[in-house]
Amino acid sequence: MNRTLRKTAFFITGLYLLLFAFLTYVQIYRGEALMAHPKNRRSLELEKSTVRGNIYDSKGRLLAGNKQINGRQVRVWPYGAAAAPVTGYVSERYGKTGLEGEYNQYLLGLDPRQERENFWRRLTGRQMLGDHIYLTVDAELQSLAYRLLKGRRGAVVVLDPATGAVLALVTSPSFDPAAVDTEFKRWQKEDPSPLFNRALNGLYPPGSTMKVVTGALILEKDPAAVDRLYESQGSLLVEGFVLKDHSAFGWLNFYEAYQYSSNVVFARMGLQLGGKDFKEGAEKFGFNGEIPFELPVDRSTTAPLKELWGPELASEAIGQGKLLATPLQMALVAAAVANDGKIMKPYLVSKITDYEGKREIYRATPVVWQEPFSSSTAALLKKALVGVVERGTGKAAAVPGVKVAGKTGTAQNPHGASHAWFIGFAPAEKPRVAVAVILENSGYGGVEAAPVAAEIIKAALAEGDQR
Amino acid sequence: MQLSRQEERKLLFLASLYLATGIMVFYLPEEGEKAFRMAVSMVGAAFLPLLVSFFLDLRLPAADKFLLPLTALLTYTGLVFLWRLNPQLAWRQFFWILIAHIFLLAVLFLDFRNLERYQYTYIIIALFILLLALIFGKETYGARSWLQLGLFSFQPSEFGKIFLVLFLSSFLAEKKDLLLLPAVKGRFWEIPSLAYLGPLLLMWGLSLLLLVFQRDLGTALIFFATFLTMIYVATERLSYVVGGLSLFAAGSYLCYLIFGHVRTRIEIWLNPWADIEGKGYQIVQSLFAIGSGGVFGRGLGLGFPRLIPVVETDFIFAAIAEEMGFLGAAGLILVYLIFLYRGFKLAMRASTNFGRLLAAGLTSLFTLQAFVIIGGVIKLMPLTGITLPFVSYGGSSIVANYVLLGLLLNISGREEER
Repeated sequence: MNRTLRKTAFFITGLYLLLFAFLTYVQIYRGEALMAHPKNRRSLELEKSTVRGNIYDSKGRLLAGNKQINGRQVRVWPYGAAAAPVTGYVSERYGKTGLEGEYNQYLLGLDPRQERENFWRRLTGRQMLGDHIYLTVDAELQSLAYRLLKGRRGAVVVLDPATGAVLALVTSPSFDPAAVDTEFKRWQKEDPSPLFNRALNGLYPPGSTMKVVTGALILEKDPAAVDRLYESQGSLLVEGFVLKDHSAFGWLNFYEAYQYSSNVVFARMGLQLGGKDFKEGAEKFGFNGEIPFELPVDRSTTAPLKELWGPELASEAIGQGKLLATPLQMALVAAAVANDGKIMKPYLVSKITDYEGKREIYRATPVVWQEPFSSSTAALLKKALVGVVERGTGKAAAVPGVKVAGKTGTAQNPHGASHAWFIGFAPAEKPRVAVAVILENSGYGGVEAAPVAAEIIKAALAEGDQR
Repeated sequence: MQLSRQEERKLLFLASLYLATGIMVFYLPEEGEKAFRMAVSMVGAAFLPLLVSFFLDLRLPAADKFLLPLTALLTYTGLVFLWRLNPQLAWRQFFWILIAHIFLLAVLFLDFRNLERYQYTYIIIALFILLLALIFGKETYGARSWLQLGLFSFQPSEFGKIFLVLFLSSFLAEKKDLLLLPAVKGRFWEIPSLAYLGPLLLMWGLSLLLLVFQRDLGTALIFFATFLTMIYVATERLSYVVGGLSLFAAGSYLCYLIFGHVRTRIEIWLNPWADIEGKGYQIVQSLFAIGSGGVFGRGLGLGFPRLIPVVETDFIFAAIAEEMGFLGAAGLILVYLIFLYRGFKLAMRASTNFGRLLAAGLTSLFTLQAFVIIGGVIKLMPLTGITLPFVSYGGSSIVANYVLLGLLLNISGREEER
């Protein structure tokens, strides 16, 4: 009988070994997939037991926080639709976007040190805490810019050119993050969709604002270009393609070419540069590459090199053709001129602290991202762009008592009326604010976009003076 | 001899440290009545097996010294997790543990050798309580295996199992030789005489009856597996096991064809992901919990095992796997494995066939039950609703398993006595 007893014991042991093997498979091999399965409510439950961190603007004003409503914790966004392109939304059903999404780990306190602290808090039955995020954005400036767009399709990006700090990032139409659970499906279908972040993901022909890039590239290649005279007889024939100016400007110097925004002159400059220099030069501004940023940014693009000759090259030199740029990209172009040819890495998050504000987890340090041109080129361009606002197409961007520099753009596009653009900075002597404004299909940049830029510059400088 | 029990108490002390650590995690943030109850259950549960140990010193000093600490480890794991999952049930479980120890002591007063002679009494009792459940039973989670007795509900099959093992041990010990005599013998096959095979066929019929009328698939499976194990041990013939398995397979297949609930169980097992929110919900939640545990677990009290339905009974293993991780869950399986080893070791040392069969039968019964429920919870096999011995919440289950422990201690103690 002992023989069969032993065999039976071995058999049952074999069954147990099967348990070990299968448990290893489920818990270790499949474990992570099971943990991350969308129907596994664990991460959601974990979130519910965490007090989500707040998002503050540069002056400590609340952009996103929590409120107790009927004993339930509810996420609130006091600046609503105005700040939505920055904050994004949080929804059990539709996920998270904006900084709420990109900085979710911090807002839930999942950085290593806070995670350890939260472990003890949970053990002792206290609520877990998230980290607070402080932004470079000025909420009042953000709201003003949103109001100035008046619900029209468009975007505004405001930067501090010396640091790369984003002071405002506005898109219109926008959405109220608090309404996402009920309205999401409608927003998705709506055209124009309020969920689309035009400032970062909208790709537009930049029109004449591109002339800042073309001019910079010419001056880098041939500094004597500033002393030359250029002739516009009203149109330019490039390989059977006709490019037109508003009128036959006649002979223009470098600065006048900017004031009148002569397509003929800048198209010729583009042809003089050649496709390779134009493309590589534009890439130093960020075109055809990734702009490092806390939120996803679409890539601004030129045509491929083999197409960049003749008509296409002439068109791209004045911001038309296949050239496409995001408003953030064009704000960086303005910032480059303002900051002596250096583009600072743009950023939104200035610091992250723990919930009590005692411990600093992260602090942004401004770094140079690109150096597309020299400071001497920058000085010449600055003078030219001041001329545009003082005497040229950009007069509507003038602010009393402040020297504003800028460039207008009126970009033709296949979707109807031209896009109105303005990029610029102020004060020209020591720039503290750079701005890009676009209003889709609304006409002349100097008429529609420039006044909006003026209001924003005025407010930004006034806000800055309070500091 | 006194010294060997000292060793058992050392092990029990270690087990109670494990219990204290677990309870403390939940005790510290609590106050008032709940904290008081936790403390009482902790001290009580730590003290009870010590009492048994001293009792064994007096009456059965030679009894196996590992069984009691192993059982304590399992019971403590269950108690800690019940405090974590459902404090109300934990408090009740403590009383069941108390009652279970009284039963255990009562069994130790008996001499198991006297139990051999009541074989037909056992089968009658077993049949009686199973029939009772069948007729008056209340359906819970699809199985009609609960008896409502005033305040208590009682699961007769938990006790029925032990009576069946008692019956089989005594029956096979006596009739073993007759079973070995083939009445009809062909060239390649042999069939034992029907007269002796009769009671065994009765067992088979009973298992299927359970399966069909009580819808208690798990218990039926364990009954039958234990039955086959014991036949094999007694007759030393694989042909009976093969024959039995064929009969069972045929019966199961028939049930699969005839009964919807059996078919559903199999379908859920094959692909629970097809209906995550519906039929597959339980097992998928269990897999989520186990998977989320990883190697080291989420930490005691830091997981979300309450997302699993009936986690306190059938699915308690998933909760343990989530919070204690693979290491904790595998550790628990290891405890059952050591129990298996001790159980068969004492079966081999037994001097009578009755002792051998009883020890092997009870050990198989209990380790197979753990295998079937753990296997179901991790989706190694179709899920059948039974308790994890000593760990799951449940009065009948705890008391019956302590009776089982008492019998094993009894066998080991008496055998060494001579």
